[in-house]
Amino acid sequence: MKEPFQKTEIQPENAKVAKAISLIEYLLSSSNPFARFLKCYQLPDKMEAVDFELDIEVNQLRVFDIQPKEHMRVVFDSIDVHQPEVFAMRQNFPRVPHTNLRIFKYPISLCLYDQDYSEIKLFWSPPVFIERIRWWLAKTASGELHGQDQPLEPLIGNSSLCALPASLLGAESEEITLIGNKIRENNYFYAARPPISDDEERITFLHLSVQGKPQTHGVIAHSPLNLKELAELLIVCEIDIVQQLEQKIERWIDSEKRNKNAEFLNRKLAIQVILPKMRKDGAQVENIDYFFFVTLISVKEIACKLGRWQMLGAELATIVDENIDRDLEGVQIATFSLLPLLTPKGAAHQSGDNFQSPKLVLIGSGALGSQLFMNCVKSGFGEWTIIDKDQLFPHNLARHALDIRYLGLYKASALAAQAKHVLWEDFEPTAINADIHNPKGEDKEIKDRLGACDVVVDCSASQSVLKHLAVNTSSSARRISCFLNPSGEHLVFLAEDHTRKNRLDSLEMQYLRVVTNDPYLNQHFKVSGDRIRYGNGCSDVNFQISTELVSIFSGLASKALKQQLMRDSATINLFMYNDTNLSVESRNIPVAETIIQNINGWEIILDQHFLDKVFKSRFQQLPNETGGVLIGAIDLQRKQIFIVDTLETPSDSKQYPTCFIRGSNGLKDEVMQVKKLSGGTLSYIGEWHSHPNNVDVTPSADDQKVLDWIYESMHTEGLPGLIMIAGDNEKIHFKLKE
Amino acid sequence: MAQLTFFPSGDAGGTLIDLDDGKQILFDFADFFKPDDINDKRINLSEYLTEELKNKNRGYFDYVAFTHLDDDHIHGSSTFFEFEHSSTYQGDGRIKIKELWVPAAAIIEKGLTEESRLIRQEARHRLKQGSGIRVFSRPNLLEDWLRENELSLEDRKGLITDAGQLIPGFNQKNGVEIFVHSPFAKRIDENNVEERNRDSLVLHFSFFCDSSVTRFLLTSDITYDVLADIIRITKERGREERLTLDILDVPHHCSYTALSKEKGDSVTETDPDVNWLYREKGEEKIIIVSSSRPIPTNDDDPQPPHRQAASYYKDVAKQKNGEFVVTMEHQKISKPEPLVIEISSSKAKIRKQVAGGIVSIISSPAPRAG
Repeated sequence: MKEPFQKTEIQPENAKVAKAISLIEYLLSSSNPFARFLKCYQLPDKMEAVDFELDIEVNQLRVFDIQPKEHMRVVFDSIDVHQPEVFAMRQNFPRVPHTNLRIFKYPISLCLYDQDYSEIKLFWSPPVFIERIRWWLAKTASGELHGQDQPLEPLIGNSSLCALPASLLGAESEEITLIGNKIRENNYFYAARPPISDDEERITFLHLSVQGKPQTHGVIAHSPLNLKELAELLIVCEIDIVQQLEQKIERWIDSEKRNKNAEFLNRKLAIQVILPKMRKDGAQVENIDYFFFVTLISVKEIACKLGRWQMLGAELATIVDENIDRDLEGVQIATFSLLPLLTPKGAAHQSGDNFQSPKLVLIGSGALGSQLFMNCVKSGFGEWTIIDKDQLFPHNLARHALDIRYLGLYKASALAAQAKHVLWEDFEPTAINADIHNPKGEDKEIKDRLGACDVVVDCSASQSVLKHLAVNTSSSARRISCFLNPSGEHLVFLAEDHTRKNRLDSLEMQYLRVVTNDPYLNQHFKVSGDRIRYGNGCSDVNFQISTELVSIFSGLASKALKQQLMRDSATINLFMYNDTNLSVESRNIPVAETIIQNINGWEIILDQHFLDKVFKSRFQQLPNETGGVLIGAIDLQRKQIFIVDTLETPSDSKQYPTCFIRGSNGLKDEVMQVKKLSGGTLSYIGEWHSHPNNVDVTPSADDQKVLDWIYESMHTEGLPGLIMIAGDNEKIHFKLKE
Repeated sequence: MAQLTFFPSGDAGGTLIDLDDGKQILFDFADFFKPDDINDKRINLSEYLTEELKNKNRGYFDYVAFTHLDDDHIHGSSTFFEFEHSSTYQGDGRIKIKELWVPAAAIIEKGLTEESRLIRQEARHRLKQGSGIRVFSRPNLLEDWLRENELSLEDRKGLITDAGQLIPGFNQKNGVEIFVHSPFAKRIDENNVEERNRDSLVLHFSFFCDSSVTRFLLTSDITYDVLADIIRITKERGREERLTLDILDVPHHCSYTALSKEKGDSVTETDPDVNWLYREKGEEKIIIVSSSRPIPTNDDDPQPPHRQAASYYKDVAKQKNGEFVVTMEHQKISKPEPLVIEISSSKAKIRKQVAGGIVSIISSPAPRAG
């Protein structure tokens, strides 16, 4: 075969291209015993070529017949813009995988690197380059160049790309509509996808789908330019495309007549070819290539070019003639490799996740919720229902996953639509545009969704929603809540255990206990930025929160959510951003077991951590009695009292074997401090004291007086009075007065 | 994966076979390297092998075979190996031989001197001891010697392997069969046999790896007529598969005498039986190794290698799309390197790896810095 190069031999010392010179010098130095200089040439455009012989490490049994000695050529461009192209000069060098498609068939051009030349330049040197070629040839010989774990090469090269939903790959539908994104003049990227705007290029094709015999990958064919070339290409795969096309057109003509749809046959044609691929001859089918061959003329015109029909007025008429006069070359085609659109499974794979599809209900799709949701969508995680009453306003765009196209729309619906722009197939999020507290007509749907889901994810950043989900909604699903602190520098992640023994409301109290006790967290509820008014309403205010922090924390929250579903236990996690070294510290807070006592119609909720503290302090003061104030929160609406903590016994308290008199030194400041540190949630809720050993925990007459005294003051705020008595054997007793 | 290493030792023998199970067989040892001669391109074999064994944390070879006792196959062994029969040749970093392989001549030959005598003494000592030895011979040939030394053939039979047999202990399961072609005897008539080449080993190896078999013929210094006899006998016995060749170690350092009576002008006209062996039994992509100096361009030196013989072997390699390699030319004539042939399920390949680079820096201690 003839070389495609116009070349003039030059002496090695007359080479001018820097890389050619260095390669020639290296080869002539004989420092590589397996590489020998042969000749060098001047090519057009000041390109230069260097020919050399290489010794290749080849086994006696080879997958591809690479020889122990191979004549190679490298072509360098004059200004080192393009990768030096390497050719195998042997006339019968085999067609092997990882070769470049060129318009000439000889010599074969090696595809040496899977990186851009700009990356390769960093380490390009003649010895490394020569060794790379020798490695390429040796690995090709042994069939190892294309890794076992590497996907198979496409069967047809030089094609454009077109994305299709997986359900349309190999489908037999009569029509396919493609929407094109204009890249530049006369250049579109087509996809069968949801429309986004009106000015998109939209074409509906008549569609013919054919499947070929499995092909061995690696031997890449050129894209056919017309129907004749396509027919030749497909005959190898045992597809008689002309015959199939004729049969199809016949049916389409009938169908056009039946349906009286004059436009039907004016559509262009898309032939979908399904080519199963094998790694080597006779192996299992490992993968499938899908191609679209799209005609530039209408089916009517194709029918005429096929020589079987002719136009009779506006209609096609069959030609009855033995000799068919075909013009297959006159049917120009464009080739598209078909890419499947992203599916949830594919998205999970891209993200490196195991595919999981638990049913989740997201409450609240603000900044954190929307971004958490989109993270999950982009990683193919979950089947979602979104509940939110809010609409999207301009100020939301600073931190929200949605953009300007959705302004004024309900966030829940908009987010569901946005998710479909990522995962169009096998993904059907449900949006409920409603207030979870006060649904209008949606209460049944909300109830059904909550009842049927596996997890309720609360991103409402609302304490009342958290409590509502924990207590007032009926569902066995575990609840998970995540929210930012006012400055946006901390993320709180609370997750119930799978049996819901430790409820979200109790977990919230435990988290607040840590916040009020840990000096490191004393800024947790501090508002650092300004409050921003975005509307005219009293509650139309917003905190300044960094958009980056929302991104960071929404990423952590979706990760934490996925991890949590692998665990049965409850979790309290605090993620704290450090602005100095741009890091996030994670603090896992041990979850104490929740204990609930019902008294006089009230639910008293405490936990083991609190009790341990109480009994420790009782034990330390024995034989005297001791005590102090109870810290917690009272929910009058739900008749719940959360007991979270006790403060240290004031120094002026009096402790005797038979009584305890709680002092007040510093107490007021301390309680105020707790209130401040807990963002106003925790406060004084009552008193506790201990009884000595062998004494009952039921209140004495004195104890009753204390309760009355407490009630007197609490009553003025509409709150009940509460005392707790701790005795031996870890017994406790509550007395409540309202 | 089995591996063959041919050493650039000038016109001398030396092949190390690394077996799948980690055992090693060294065929011949000839160290002619002159450290003071800067033009000496031959390998410092003693140093090379000592280093190789050190890397394996060994002080011994499992098997050492002397194909025959010519100086160019044993040179330097008196200082390299440990000999069990004499304390003079023990200790001091000498390399032990677990099992010594010798042809019959190494037991019964008289009038040997120096190193060949030393090896004969060692072989005799081991045969008397009844361990650490294998003699390749027709058993009857050793009968007289054994009787003289008050030993019975019956007692020593397990240590003797005759031509036409497989060497015990090697089988398909552990990855290699070794078939003995020589020394052998040729039947002249009904009552008489002629001892042919009792002083030289010719072995045929079949390396098994998964479903593939790679065959290697090790020929030492036999002449064409002996080779022709071997071919005829092997064909007669219907064992042609023991002549199949994927790798050939050409006899006698590429001497024409291993091909024909006459050298020929440009190509040796090869004996028809020998020619049949290479042309018919040589497999596609055969690797032909000449353990010799670079092939000369003229006939000034009567000693092998002979260019006419080399031309013949090159032509065989070309016909088979194979490779012809000369040990003293391998990689570079100016600095020949050991020729390593790796054997895998894809059969044999010549290792072609560029030495040096970072790996070589970190696999040896750095020089002293002052």
